[in-house]
Amino acid sequence: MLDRLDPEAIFLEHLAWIEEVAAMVCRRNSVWGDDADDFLSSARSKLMENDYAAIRKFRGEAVMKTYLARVVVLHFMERARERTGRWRPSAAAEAHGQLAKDLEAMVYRDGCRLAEAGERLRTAGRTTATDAELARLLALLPVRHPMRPAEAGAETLEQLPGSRQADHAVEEDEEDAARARVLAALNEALDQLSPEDQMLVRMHLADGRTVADAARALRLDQKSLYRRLPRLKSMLRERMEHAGVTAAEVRETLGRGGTDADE
Amino acid sequence: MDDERVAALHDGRLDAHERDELLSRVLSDDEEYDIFAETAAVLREIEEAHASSPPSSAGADPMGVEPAADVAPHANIARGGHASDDVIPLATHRPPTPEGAAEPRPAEPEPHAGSRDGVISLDSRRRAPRRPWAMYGSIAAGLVGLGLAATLLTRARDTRLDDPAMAVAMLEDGAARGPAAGWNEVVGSSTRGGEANGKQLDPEPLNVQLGAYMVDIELAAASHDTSVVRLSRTIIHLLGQVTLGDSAAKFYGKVDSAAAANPRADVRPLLAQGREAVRSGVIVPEWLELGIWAEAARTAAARHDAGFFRSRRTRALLDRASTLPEMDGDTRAALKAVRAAIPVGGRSLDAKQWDELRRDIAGLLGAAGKF
Repeated sequence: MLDRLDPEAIFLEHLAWIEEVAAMVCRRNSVWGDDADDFLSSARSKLMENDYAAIRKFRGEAVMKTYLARVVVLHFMERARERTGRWRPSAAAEAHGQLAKDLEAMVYRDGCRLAEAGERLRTAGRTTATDAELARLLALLPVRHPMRPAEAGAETLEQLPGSRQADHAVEEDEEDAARARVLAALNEALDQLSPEDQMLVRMHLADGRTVADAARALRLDQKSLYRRLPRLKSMLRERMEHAGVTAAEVRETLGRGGTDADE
Repeated sequence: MDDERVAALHDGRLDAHERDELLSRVLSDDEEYDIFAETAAVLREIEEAHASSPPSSAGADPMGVEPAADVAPHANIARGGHASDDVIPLATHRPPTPEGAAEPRPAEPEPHAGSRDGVISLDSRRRAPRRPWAMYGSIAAGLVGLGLAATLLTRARDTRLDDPAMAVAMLEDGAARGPAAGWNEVVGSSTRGGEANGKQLDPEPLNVQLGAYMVDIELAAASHDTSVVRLSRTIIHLLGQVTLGDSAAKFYGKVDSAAAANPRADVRPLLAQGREAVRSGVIVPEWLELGIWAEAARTAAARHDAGFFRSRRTRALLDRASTLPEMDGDTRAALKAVRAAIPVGGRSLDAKQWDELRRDIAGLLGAAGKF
């Protein structure tokens, strides 16, 4: 604990770092302008509250800057969840880069019109793209619904169809059973992996995070992951097949209504 | 979750047992996982930004401090100093970690967390992981190559080749052998490998050229080839014609300055930032990845590297390229020739066939990139 030290001095000494982390987490999550300033102010207050309790709790087991980064990111996520619910860029936006993530968040999360989003992005120096170019980019992204439900009147609700027909219920039960079987096999395959490998699978294969991020999260050499990740994928697939779950079964379970593009 | 323990996990300061236990806990809690992954991403981006910043004085650490691994966590506190010396260790300061191994810890082991006041001790019982269906779905779909729209994206991401570093990593020995002989030969025009001639290119050949030069500079930088300066200037020129190219150009400008000042300078961190900026700024990446693949493939052909051509990424790239609607007749014919010439399955090539393949790929580059 740092009680014997002056936590205020430590805070001031790391203020530039705190601001850098706050700015980066805002940038990554498409928050800027007044909203970013608000967050920075809130992050400072969070670290100062209760006589710098967060800093006094620091024991020296981690690097101070890493610890502060964790506290700031945690505060950002909690605050974002309180305000807008849980928001994540779509896989398509992730694939198309930061501008796509910004645009998606402004249009689908914040409810901006495209022209308004374009204006804000250009004013903030985030892009020089025209509205037409942004429209082209937006067209590559899936349509998403607002994070908070909109109010619907009784009339709207009355017009909704019943949730399940009897024959659909039987089909859904069968689908649930097949899905549970696939899940159990995958769960078992994942359980055989080390926690580190599970984290790699989760970050890269499930969430589509970059190899660089996965490498940083686990302190691994990035280049080695380019070979390791395909091996992990192949291992998981083999284990599922060994457990009697075929690719066709997974496809059938997950792919109802989809087209087959397997190799 | 104890914030400092997780921070220590990010710092590589936990022993293998503690690390596994904490990772399991993070994996079992979606919200905790989000915070963990986001913190890692924030740290990486800041570290890369610092690594690319010019040092404040000759030979100094870009952040002006020692790497954390060499700092006993309590050393400064014990002597009444501040914790400012506890810094984010830059990736460039640490030797690569062997696969699966934890990073080295500080010389003096820390007392166990559970013995400290106010520390939440780790639960020795491993929680049953809670894995949401969405996560299972993504993994399972990725394993079988499912054709759903959402999973198509997963597959596309898995086989995309819009990162020149990935293309270089696919080469046997990666960049370790440096550029192949004749790698900067003229392909169809004097602009190849030299100063661009100032003409405005259409977006498709522009992206092909950009991708090809980005591979060239990766290979050149790895072997401290003096062509790094010239290549960076060519890339900057090309980026000048890309609507969203300004942010990427600034990183290649730094590469230019660093390599011009010191040919032995390690510009790879700057190149990493440039790559990321290009990927963020290029809205239609299909032609960029064609250029990346073709240039890496030319190097692979020169090295007689059959593995490169048999990789899943190569097959996927060629499939995607063959369906590009904007492709002209010359490029389509060149692509067809390359597809016919590459070694597939158990087929092997003799020296003459490798040379023909290299020329076919050069022809594809010339046609697609309008060099």
